[in-house]
Amino acid sequence: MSTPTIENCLQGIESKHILLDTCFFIDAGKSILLNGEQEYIELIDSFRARENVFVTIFPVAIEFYRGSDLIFDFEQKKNFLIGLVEKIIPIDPQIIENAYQLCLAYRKNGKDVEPTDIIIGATLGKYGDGVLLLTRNINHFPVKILTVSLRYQFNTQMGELSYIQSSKTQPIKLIRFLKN
Amino acid sequence: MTKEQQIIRSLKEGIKRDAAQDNDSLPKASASFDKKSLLKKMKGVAAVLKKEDEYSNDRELFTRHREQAHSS
Repeated sequence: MSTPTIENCLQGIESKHILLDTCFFIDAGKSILLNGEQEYIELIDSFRARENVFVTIFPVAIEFYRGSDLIFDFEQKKNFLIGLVEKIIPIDPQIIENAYQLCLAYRKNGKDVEPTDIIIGATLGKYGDGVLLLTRNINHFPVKILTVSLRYQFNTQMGELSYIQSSKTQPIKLIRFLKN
Repeated sequence: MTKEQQIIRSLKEGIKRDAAQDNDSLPKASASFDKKSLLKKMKGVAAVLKKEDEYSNDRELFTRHREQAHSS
């Protein structure tokens, strides 16, 4: 099986909201250093052409911003993130409650998951299949616990990018293309 | 009311205010997408990330640059 094109990967997710994980902001930034920025521009353009809307959550923003020692550096990161996403989804009581449930589920299954990833999972759970997570770190989401299925995936210079889609009946569904 | 109580009251009011806002709604797609602007921002971030990677590999460089930054 050959690696699918971006166009093939994005079929069927028109008008969905795409929650960007921290790795996406870092990878997109670092792609400049590897002369791979056109790949990311093309990807972003393809999403926008399908009326997809980029969003993220505050813990992701903080994870991306931290490590900056200068206000100037901090602002560079902030301008990039704010320029890319339409909204930073606030954490509300429902997301917190979902996060508690995920904490218990992960713990029962002996999984150690970062707080940011728990909040991401909780946010996906709230919004159902209207929001998909774009991440490279699928291992950060204990897929076995959450009965996920795999469908879309494509590779970039920085690694494999995947979409994780949630639904209210199945808390998180991971979709990716399988590579040969 | 003590200073501490004032801060707690202010925080509680802020939480109520945030909760009253329409946080559930997700934005619609915007028509504008400035590729040049995004690319410029990506370049800015790339320089920052490169520096941070250098710092993580060289603590002395990090300390030296931080001291310079905070003294200027």
